[in-house]
Amino acid sequence: MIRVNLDVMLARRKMSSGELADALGITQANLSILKTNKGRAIRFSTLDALCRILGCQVADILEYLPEEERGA
Amino acid sequence: MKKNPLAVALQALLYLLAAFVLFCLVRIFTSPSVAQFFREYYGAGEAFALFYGFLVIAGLLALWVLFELLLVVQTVATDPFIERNVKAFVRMGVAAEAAGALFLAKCFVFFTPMTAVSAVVMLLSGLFALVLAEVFGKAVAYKRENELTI
Repeated sequence: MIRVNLDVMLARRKMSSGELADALGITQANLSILKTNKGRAIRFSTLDALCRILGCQVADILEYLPEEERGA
Repeated sequence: MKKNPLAVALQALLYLLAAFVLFCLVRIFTSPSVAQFFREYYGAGEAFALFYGFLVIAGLLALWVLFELLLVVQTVATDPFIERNVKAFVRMGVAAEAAGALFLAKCFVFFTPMTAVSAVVMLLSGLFALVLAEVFGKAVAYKRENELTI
């Protein structure tokens, strides 16, 4: 599965969810869907904006977890 | 929310049709001239009672179809691709198929060309409604998928 590590990046950048949602131009509800891994897909444009705003790479936001690590 | 004029017109038409069906249902029991007309055609015995039963059931099924259609049309202005509309189309299809079967059965008892035409129309509209239910079901699934794409 793919895990979204937005919480970690937000903490590193000392940024709140509201600030990020405003900067991305999406609602806090949608950002929450993304943060809690409930999203089904992420647009390249959203990913591009996330990397630009947080000053990071895609790999800092998305992480692949093999099946056996899911429950951990 | 801006209302779609076509949906408003259709809604008004459906209310009018429902009122007309209700009026006809009441009229066949309260008007002696209507009863007399059918008595002359079907005779006074069992056939007459059977025909009245057929009229009442067909009327109620028509009201059911109209009610389900109204439910769907009311959502056009907001969001028509919802699970409730899928179920409404399924129920509409079932009601139309039942009416079609009723008309078909009547063809074997009292055949008139209009009964045969009505049977075909109702059976086809029932199928159409069931196919629309499938289409709406797919649209709801796509919408849900899109909503979860951030």
